Amino acid sequence: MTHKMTYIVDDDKLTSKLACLLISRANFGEEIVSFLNPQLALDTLMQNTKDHSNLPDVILLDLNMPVLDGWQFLDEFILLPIQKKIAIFIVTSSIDPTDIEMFKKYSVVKDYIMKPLTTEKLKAIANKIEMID
Amino acid sequence: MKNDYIRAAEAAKIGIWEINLEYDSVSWDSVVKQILEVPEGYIPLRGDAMRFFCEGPNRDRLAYFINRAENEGTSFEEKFQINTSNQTLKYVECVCQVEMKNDKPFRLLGTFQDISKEQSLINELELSAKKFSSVFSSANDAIIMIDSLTGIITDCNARAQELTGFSSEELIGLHNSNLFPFETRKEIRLFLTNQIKKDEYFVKDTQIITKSGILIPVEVASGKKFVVNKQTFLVCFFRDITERKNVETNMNMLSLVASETTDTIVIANPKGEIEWANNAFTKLTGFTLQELYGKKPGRLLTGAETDTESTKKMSVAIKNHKGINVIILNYNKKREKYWFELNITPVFDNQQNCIRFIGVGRDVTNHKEKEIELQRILEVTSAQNMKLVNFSHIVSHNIRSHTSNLQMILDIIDNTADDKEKLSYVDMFKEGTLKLSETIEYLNEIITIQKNSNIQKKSIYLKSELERIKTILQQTIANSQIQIIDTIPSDLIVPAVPAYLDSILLNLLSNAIKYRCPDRQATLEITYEKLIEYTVIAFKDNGIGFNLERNKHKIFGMYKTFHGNEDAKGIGLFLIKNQIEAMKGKIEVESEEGVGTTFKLYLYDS
Repeated sequence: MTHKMTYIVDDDKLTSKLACLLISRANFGEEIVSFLNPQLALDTLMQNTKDHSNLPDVILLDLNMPVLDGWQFLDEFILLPIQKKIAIFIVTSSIDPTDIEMFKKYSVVKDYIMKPLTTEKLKAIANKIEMID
Repeated sequence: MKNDYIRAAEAAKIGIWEINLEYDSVSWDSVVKQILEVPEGYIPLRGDAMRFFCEGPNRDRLAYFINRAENEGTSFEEKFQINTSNQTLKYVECVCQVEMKNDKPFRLLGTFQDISKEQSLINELELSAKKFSSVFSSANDAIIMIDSLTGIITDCNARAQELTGFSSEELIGLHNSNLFPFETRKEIRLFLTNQIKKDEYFVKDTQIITKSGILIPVEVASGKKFVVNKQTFLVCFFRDITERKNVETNMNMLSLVASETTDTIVIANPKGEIEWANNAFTKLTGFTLQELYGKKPGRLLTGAETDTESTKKMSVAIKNHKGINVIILNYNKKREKYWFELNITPVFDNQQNCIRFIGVGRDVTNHKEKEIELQRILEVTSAQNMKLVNFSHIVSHNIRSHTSNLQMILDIIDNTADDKEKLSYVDMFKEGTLKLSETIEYLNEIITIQKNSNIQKKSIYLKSELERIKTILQQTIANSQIQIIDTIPSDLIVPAVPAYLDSILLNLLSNAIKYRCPDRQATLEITYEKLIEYTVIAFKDNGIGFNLERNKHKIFGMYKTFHGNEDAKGIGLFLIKNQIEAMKGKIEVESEEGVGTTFKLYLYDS
């Protein structure tokens, strides 16, 4: 079962473009929304806290970003009054062990995916989401 | 002849009396009558004398002796106490000779002499002898009497026997020098001789040697000499001062330690005012004991750079009579700094009153300087380590992000069947490789900066350098209408690597322009300040600012931008931080969202 909406939060334009392409080809989800600025993603989530149909099912989150980095995004996100279950996956090029330790502290984060994102990794993410459901 | 005798007796005030048993008559001469204080014309009767003899043992004794003389013819010579007719008490000596006729006593003839004066002298002597003997035997001091002519001991008390271990038989007859160890004998002999000449009371500390050869410290005291039967005696008193000597020895040891130790020792009263300090302390501080006395060490020894937290802690401890251990920067009399480790201990009496403070300390300047140097090395090392971590992060993140993009494109191309579509992804691949090579170029630049930390610095006129940069940015400055004000004098020279200073000024100026607040007239103030080792140049703008707390970890990192600006590459601050550190300087930042940002550039002076 494929889910409806996926957010991609990554400041790198090329990465974002490629991820969109990969997701649409892999039949990963129906709709993809890409945010280059994580603050905008947070703002959009905040506007739709009650409107479940406009909220994503999955967020693919980069860590190293301007304005808000991935961790700051998560800190803000967990404060949002959202009832809907949203599965967050960190997708990053960081192989820093402190980052890998850090992700375990956030229960909303379902897994830590190292870039590059591939069709196989997307399948694994989809399987994980199904298991949670 | 007989009359001659009587006259002589009368002159010597010796009375003569007679009892004729045959005629039962009594006769007294005028001396007897004078002694008994009866009139010259008094005519005594037989047994009349008895009533003058004091009642009790005196009278009984007389009756006994008279009776024996009358009946057995025994002469006697006795002393009696009498009570004259005027009720005067007198001592008399009565001698009685018996004359015999046909083996029977027929006449008692005797003398009668007033010996009151002699007797009271004897009584006094007896009393003083008793007193002396009591003092002599029960005194706590050992007393020996020495014949000053021969030096022989003539008497001693019990305590002298205890002290010396000799019995009184052994002591008496012994030469006094036997009581002293061989080495001191001559000294003692000279001393005693001298003492006898001077005839004064004296006290001297010396040692005696006991019978068993043990040395005992004693205090010898001697009174004035006295003469009996032309013999001169000296009384010497010996007091065992072993305990006092032990205490003295201990005290001497303690005071030796206190005065000679290399640790500093200060004794203060409960108010913390100095009462005493040892040599090490006066040497370290440069103050004499007179200068220190009554002063509070804190006032005297601290200075501008002394940590006030430590001095506060110390005065609180002293106020509360508590001990404390501190390391503090102190100043000597010449106002030279030294690091001082100090341990203050309060001393209490039996009633738990604080009576003193003892401060033991030492100069730990060497130690502390090493510690500071070690701390500095640690800081340098951890800074290097941070750089390494940052660098590995850059490699891991910035290079990996581009290579992973390239991998993704390849993945997509692989999974695309249509050749035309495949070709369309080549542009994306180009974009990815371009970014990768750009990143590698930047990294190369950083490595070059870090490698060339010993690069030659030149003296640069900051003002003209600033003007040059402003000319380069002329167009942007004009467009932004930013006001750049500086107080840099035209003769201010800073030591810097020209290319780095260029890059730093360019970056800070363009940042101020880039992040200006669109709602107000943008300003940038450039000021300077001279510190001991640094020239500090401050760049204060009134731009949009940023949340320093939130972005602390990102601000000088590579590719860390925290504004949404499209053209922010996140390279500038990372680059200038590396450049300034390569010149042994540093950069600091203060910022407030909506108010502005100040960058402080610390240019190392040598």
